Amino acid sequence: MDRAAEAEPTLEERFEDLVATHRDRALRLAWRLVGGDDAAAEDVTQDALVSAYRGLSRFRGDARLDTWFYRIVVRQAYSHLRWRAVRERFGQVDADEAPDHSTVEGDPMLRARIAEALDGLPRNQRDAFVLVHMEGFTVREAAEIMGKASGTVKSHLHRALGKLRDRLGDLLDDGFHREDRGRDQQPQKPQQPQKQQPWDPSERDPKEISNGR
Amino acid sequence: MADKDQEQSVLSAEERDFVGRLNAGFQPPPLTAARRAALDARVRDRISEPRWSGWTAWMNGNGASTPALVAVSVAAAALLWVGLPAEQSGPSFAPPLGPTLSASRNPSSGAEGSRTVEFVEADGREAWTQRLLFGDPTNDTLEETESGLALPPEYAAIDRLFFEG
Repeated sequence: MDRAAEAEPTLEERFEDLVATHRDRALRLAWRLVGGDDAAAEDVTQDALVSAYRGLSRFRGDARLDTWFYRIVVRQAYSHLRWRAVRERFGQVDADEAPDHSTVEGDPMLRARIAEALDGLPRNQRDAFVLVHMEGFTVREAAEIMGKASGTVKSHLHRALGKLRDRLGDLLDDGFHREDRGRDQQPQKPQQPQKQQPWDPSERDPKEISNGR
Repeated sequence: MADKDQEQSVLSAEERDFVGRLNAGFQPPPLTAARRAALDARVRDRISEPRWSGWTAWMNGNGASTPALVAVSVAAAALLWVGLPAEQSGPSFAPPLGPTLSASRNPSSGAEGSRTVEFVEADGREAWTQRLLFGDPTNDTLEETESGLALPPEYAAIDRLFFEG
C-alpha cells in the first residue's frame, strides 16, 4: 500500500471534512454577522464554502485550516453587508428583502434590537464580539481570523461591549421580557465547535427527491 | 483556551449576564436536515460547474450563442487594446473606456508607439467593482471608522453630493 497516498488526503476529502466539521458553525457565524438574515447567511456560507474549495489547493498550512476558512466567512459576510448598504442607500432593496425576525423562535422584537445594535458597531468591533462572545472562539483565534493582534481584539471587545450595553442595557433591567428571563436564568454560553453532519457528495437535493426525479 | 479564560475572567458578573442574554436573544434557527442537504447540494452544484458558467449561462439565457460570446470577447479585447493610450505623437482615435477617472502614461518607459500605461487612480470598471464589493485589502481605513458601515468612497461622494447637500 502506498503510504504517501494514505497519509495525504485528497482535495475532495479535505473539503468534505471541512464542510462536515465547520458548515453549521459557519452558518451560525454568518447569520449573526449579517444581522439574523437566514437567506443571506446561507448565501454567505455557500459563497465561503465555494471559495474555500477553490482556494484549498493553494492552502499551504501557514494558518490553521479552520481559521483560514472562518476568515473567508467573515470577509464574505462583510462583502454582503457592504453590498446591501449600497443597495439600501440607493433604494434598490425591497422591503421583503429585509431580514424577517418573526420566523425564528424567541422574541422577534428583541432579536431585531440586538441585530440593529450589532449592525451599528464598527466592523472590527462587531466581528470581535460575535466571534468571541457569541461563537465561542478564543481571543487568539479571533485575532487570527481577523488578522489583528490579540490586544487589538481585546480592545475591540471592550469597546463593543460598552456600546452594546449603552444601547441594550435595559436587557438587564425589568424591561427584559419576563418569558425570556424565566427561560434563561443562566446566561447562555457561546456554542463550541462540534463534529457536524457529514457532507455526502452523492447526497441529492431534497427538492429533487420530492419531485420524484 | 487560556486566552479565552483570561478574556472571560475580565468580564464582570453583570457583563457575563449581559452577554449571556444577548446570546439567548440572538440565536439562529436550528439547521434542519433538509436545509443542510439543500445547502450541500447548492455548494456541490457550484463547485462542479466551471467558474464562468454562470456568466455564460446568463448570456445564453439572454439569447447569446457560444459563437456570439466568442466574437464579443474578441471584440472587447481588441477594443481594450485599441483604447489604451499609446506612446505616440499623433492623436488617438480610440474612445475612452469605462469610468476611468485618471490614468497617465508613463513617459519614461517604453519605446515610441509602445502601450506602457501606468494607472494612477481608478484602473477600470473591473477593479472599481472589486473595490466596491470587497474593499481594498491593503487599506483598513474604511473599516476603522466609527460609523456602522462606511460606504465605498465613490458612493460616499455621491451620497454627500445628492443626499446630504
